[in-house]
Amino acid sequence: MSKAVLVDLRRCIGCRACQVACKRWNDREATPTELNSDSKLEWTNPPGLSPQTYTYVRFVKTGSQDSLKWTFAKIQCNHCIQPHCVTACPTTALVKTEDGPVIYRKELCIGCAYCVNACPFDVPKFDEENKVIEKCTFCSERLKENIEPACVQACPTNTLVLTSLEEARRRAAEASAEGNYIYGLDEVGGTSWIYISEVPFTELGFPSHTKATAGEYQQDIITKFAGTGILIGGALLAGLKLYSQRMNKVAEAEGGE
Amino acid sequence: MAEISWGILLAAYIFVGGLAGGAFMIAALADLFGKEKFKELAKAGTYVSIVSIIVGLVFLVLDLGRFKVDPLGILNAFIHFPTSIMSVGTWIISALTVMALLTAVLWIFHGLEIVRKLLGIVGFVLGASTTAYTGLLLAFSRGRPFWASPFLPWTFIISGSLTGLAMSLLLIPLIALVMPRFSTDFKELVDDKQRFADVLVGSQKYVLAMIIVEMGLVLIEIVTGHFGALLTLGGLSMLFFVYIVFGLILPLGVAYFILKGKYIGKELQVPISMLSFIFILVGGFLLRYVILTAGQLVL
Repeated sequence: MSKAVLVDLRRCIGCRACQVACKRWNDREATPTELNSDSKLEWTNPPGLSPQTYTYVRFVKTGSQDSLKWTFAKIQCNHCIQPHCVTACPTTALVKTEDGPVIYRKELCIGCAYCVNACPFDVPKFDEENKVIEKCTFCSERLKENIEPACVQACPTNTLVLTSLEEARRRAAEASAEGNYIYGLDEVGGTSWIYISEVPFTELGFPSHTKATAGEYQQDIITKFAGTGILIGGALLAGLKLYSQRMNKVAEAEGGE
Repeated sequence: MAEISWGILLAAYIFVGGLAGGAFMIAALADLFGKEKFKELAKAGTYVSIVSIIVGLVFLVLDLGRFKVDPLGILNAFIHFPTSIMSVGTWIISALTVMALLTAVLWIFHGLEIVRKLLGIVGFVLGASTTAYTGLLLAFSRGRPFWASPFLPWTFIISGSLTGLAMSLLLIPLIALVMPRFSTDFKELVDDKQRFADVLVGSQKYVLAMIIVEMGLVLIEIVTGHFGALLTLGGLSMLFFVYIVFGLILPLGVAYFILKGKYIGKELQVPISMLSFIFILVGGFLLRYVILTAGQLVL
């Protein structure tokens, strides 16, 4: 049974317990940071994912004065159902497990960083010193022992709920029917971390993606590549025909003289 | 803002890789259709392809930076075939290397022409695939929408062919000068000034055609929005402009005036052609560097 986490942003209070729990469990270092210079994200700290930061809470201000509202959005690997990083990886260092987590096997990695560019959510971060990538592991080793991921266990408000993928999708669909915004049901063919929010996800900095899976996305590009090839070929043939017609005319004109 | 994980070493790798594929495509076409006139070009293209693959491998290993830690680790890249386009590329380049080496052996030891030409047909497909796959690899990167253009692989194919032709034509006098005993045909060709000029002028037709196609592709990519961002990126825009002028416009002008027999006197055709080939190579590198970097900066 594939696991998933329902992330109900309506409940998040921005306490960052998940950030701390993740750092502790994964033995990540605290890194010096400064206040985010982006006025919409000014309390976000750390400012983004990094080899030492597998998850962070994005502090987003929407509206102004009386309509000012804070939304806190936890960001981490979404453990996509059909991950682009897994498709991209030439060595199978990145693998989608049956339990749900997309895990990373350092021993197979060649440090090509293709996953860094392939990921639709800009998640894997390259560790320049060790030439490997770092990202959220969904605490796969804890899941194997039937323990919740560190961030889920630490969350005091039940913003993060570990459940089955089917249950998470069902609850998200219910919330959508109630007028809330959902992220992760359709995007890139669906993800294992599914979000519910009262605020549109575009305002929270979540990238817009179609529902095409990695395979469908690539197939679409290949089809367009072949199609443009036919167009280019046709244009070339037409160009060659015009050129040789012109050359014949020039030759005839010179022959006449 | 996205960080740069693919830098100048990787730009050099995809430039040299494209050149390798393109050079073998040119070599195959010259051997199949060029008859005696372009025999030396067919040889030169084969040698350029092999050397470029080796140089490309060095750039790649340097970029990965794991040679001391895990020298054979790079072989893992063969594993995820055919799902990962990067793995597909690894196999394609390996197959191209084998084809190019076999072809070079047949050239050096005057082997069976029919076998060599058959290898050329297979090698042409592999060469085209080598130049195209890096474009597809970039286009598949869903996190970098700047690269998501079906025209990108075609741009790389034509640029690879153009740079491959330029490098092969530069290699002939280079070998004739530096190690003439390696290929006596190259020395004989360069010494026969009239014949060498004929080969260069004959090649300029194809240079002209390829530049026009490349210009068309770059224009389409600017108009369809993908490369539009390249016009507003400060230093990168400058490099893009340098590519347009030195990599496309100047060599186009040289090719046109040489073919028309205008402005460039017969005694200047060879040196000016050589200079324009160097510009083509510089342009080819800049194109890849700009595309690779911009794709990681533009959101």
